[in-house]
Amino acid sequence: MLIFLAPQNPTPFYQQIVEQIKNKIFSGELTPHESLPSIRQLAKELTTSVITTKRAYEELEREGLIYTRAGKGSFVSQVDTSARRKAALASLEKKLREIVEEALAAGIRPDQVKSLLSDVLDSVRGREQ
Amino acid sequence: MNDLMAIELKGIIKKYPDFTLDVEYLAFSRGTILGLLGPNGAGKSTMIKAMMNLVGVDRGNISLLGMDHRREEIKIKKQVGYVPEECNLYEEASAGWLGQFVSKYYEGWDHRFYQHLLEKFGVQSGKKVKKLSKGGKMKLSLCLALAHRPSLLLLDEPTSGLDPVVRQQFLKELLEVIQDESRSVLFSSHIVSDIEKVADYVAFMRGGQIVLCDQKDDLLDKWRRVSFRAADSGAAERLKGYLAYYKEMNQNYQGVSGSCGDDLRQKLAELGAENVNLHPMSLEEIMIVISRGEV
Repeated sequence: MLIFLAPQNPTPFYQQIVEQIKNKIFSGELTPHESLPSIRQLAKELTTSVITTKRAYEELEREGLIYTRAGKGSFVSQVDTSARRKAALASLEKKLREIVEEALAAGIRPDQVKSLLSDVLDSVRGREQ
Repeated sequence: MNDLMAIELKGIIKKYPDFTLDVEYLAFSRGTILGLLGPNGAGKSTMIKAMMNLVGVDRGNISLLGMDHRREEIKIKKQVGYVPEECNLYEEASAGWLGQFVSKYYEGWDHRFYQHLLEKFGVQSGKKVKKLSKGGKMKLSLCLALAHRPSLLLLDEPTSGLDPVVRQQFLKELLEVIQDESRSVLFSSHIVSDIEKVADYVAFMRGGQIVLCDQKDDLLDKWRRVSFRAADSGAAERLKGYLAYYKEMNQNYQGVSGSCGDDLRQKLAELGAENVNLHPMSLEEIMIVISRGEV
């Protein structure tokens, strides 16, 4: 399983692992019930700490994307499309919250934030069509 | 004494004329890596030597792998791999000869593994110690410490003098050690990035004391660079409580917080801070702030 950790990235390592495994599950690169490397193996592969990879797996488990069988290891869950949409929505909300907090701290007015968001949305959808 | 702990230190005092080692409590669980950080002269080597009973403490309890470090010294030492800061190998001996010599002291000595390590780290088995570079000597010491597959590794500045490629290999080797959940590693280093990469727990030492010990990820989560503006003095007083260290200029505050939760920004805003900015800190930045006691 190829995962890249970028030390320059301000996102914590465990979060980087979570996001990349999530992408692999959603893109179908990891299939349901496929086994994942153990926490310790993954730590060695990535030259990162065991607690970091453990935390990443715990987070993925909480989100229902993987499951763990005692003594057997961790596996990819059967993820249905609604769960996938729910996860995407949750992650979007988290990112948006950060952006909005930053914008308000910089003194941008709420209505400016709203209109900018809808501008961006329009331009991206225009490009896709 | 806790059997699940790799190391447990309680109420350690060792007085020197100009320095006191004073460790109230330090412990970390088996199957993990503890990184020990601190400026020169903070007492890192002295503390590691005290664990090995090379420095006799005046007071306190030390247990390694759940055993008393004095009463069960021999039993402990069979299961510990120790690499001191200075190389103390026979200058006239070769790596091959040293392997034979050291193997007699350890039941768990694995000669094939030793050969494999020497090859991996690029240490020539026939070369005399005095002909090895500083990094070469360190690599040899590490091979000797690893080859009997100890349950606990105590490494004093193992990565100093090693180039980045070998350091990476070495860190992988430490992670290989803890693939077995009963084995543990303590290593001190000046190279914070090495500790940032692989350590599960980080302990900071200053002036002979452990000033902070926590899970590495929790440390990185909790510490933030903080800046804000506080126009009224009452608000400023309340806000300062959230900052471990800070400086102020024209009602603008810049500092660090060691107690960041998800809601720090909100809390500060509620207390009257304006233009709140939060930035994550690297372990190196946290260490510098703590060692100097200022922003």
